[in-house]
Amino acid sequence: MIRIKEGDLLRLASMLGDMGYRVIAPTEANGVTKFSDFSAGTGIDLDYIRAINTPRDFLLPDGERLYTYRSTATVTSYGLKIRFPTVEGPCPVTINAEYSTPSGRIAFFAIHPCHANAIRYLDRVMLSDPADPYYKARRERSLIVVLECEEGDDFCFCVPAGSWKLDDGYCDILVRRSGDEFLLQPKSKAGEEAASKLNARAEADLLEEKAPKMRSSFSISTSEEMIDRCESEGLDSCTLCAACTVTCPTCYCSDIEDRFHLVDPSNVERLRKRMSCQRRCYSMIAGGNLFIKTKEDRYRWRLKHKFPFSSKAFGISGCVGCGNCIAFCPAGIDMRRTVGRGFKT
Amino acid sequence: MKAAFYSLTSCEGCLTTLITNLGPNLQALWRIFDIDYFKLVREPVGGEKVPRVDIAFVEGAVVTSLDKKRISQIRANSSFVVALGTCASCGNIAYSASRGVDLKRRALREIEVFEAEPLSSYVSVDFELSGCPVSAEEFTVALLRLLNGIEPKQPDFSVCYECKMSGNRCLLDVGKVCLGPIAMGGCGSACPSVGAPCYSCRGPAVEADLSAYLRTIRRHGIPEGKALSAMNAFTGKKIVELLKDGKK
Repeated sequence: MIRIKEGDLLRLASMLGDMGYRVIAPTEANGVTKFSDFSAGTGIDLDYIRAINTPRDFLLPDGERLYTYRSTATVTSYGLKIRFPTVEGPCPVTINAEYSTPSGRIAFFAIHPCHANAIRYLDRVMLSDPADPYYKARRERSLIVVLECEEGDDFCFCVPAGSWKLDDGYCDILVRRSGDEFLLQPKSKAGEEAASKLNARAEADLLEEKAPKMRSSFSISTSEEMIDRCESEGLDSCTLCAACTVTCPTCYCSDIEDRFHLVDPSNVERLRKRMSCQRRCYSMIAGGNLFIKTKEDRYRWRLKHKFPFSSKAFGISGCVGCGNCIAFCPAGIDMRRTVGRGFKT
Repeated sequence: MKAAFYSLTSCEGCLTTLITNLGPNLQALWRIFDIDYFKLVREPVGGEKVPRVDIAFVEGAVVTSLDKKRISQIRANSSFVVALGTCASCGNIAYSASRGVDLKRRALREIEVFEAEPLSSYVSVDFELSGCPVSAEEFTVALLRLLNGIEPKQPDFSVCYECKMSGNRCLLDVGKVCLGPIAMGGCGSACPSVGAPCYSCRGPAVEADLSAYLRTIRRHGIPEGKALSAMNAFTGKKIVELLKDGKK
């Protein structure tokens, strides 16, 4: 364990930058805390409880270019004609997909334990066979500095969700505030290497994770039948804005989009765009039919994906109890009323 | 392939935006299409006559007797009609501004003035590209889909979706009358990102739910009347239809 001052912690962030990491840290602007690129001189919000974006936005960025390919597009007097290998039979020219995996190193600085557990969940999803090469390249070279919370806000429920504990490999340095000072515990080789540069004297005792104080206590119990039977109370004010999935640290659904350019039509970019189960086109099939029509169904689908489906497919819950979907919902829809046994507002 | 760009009663902002924002794509446009009519760029080939084209882009609302005649001529001579901008798709400001006014006294010589209507009130429109003004990027994407025989698509999400994605503080939380939850997205939450509330310049979202929105703003302590007047100001016919449905 190392005992340091706040200035030293900020120094650690800029040192990580010097070590070649792209440092992502919480910063406060216009009344919201947001993870963004840290550069020396910008402050870090070390007292934040809730951030509007999550590490997922950096591990799975929206609109990421997967690869580019040359199509057999020609401009004729009848307009632009693009031949797709899948649409018009065998492609006359082989597609030479050019792709490269991201090469930068990311350091997540002062993320909360729930965010670290969200990364653990994303790992289960994205790295299970076949692993996603883009995600894998980013994850392999990333470093996680976890800042513990002392107390949650009205929406936090990481203790009922069990996500205040950290698994091996999901925390390189553990940081806890203790009065004016910070306690640091390197938990991996990379963490030790970074912390050693602070030249602070190490103390003998080990820092273990501690559960933060919660304002509400309940237990989470979910089954498909239970979610199906849930009351749709409060859902009539849902405007389907999808804030719940946009701010969720574990939502990973995406859509594939081919982007053409008028100037050079044969140069096609294939992008991975964020998708949300609350959107209309999520369940749309050819002919315009929707499988998940009503907002009640979309709400249930989201909860089913988070709890029973994730437990079955990946062995862990897809909800880390960060409470973002409740805090950022303009309609104030609270999923704890559906899945929390013994929950009282 | 032939294309034409027409302008009815409007500020001509949509076509101006295309000219200024398309950049190198504008030249590509002229290479791909025979453009017989684009008055802002050059003198029309056949004079004022409406040419036969494959795709017609029409901006502006139908306000005068001249517009009425013109839009039916355009429809008769074009295989695919795209309403360009919110005036053409919803009626925009002109829709609410022209109601409750003595229009007879406003006639310009022999040109009669009527209550403003979107194109769809008079002719069938094949695709509506909203925006005040339209986004050049969305225009390009829609055009490329059309060229490939794929139906272009409208954004299926509301402004809130992109606003949360850009990490903005919710303006309803600070008591501003923001129409984000029911407004059609695709603008990249341009206004809320700089702290100005959304006034729904693209018309209502595909799945706009007015009663849910009114419940949401009541929760934030915002008076309903303020939100309703904000709605009436900009988005024309479609919001009026939504209001009718919401009161059922």
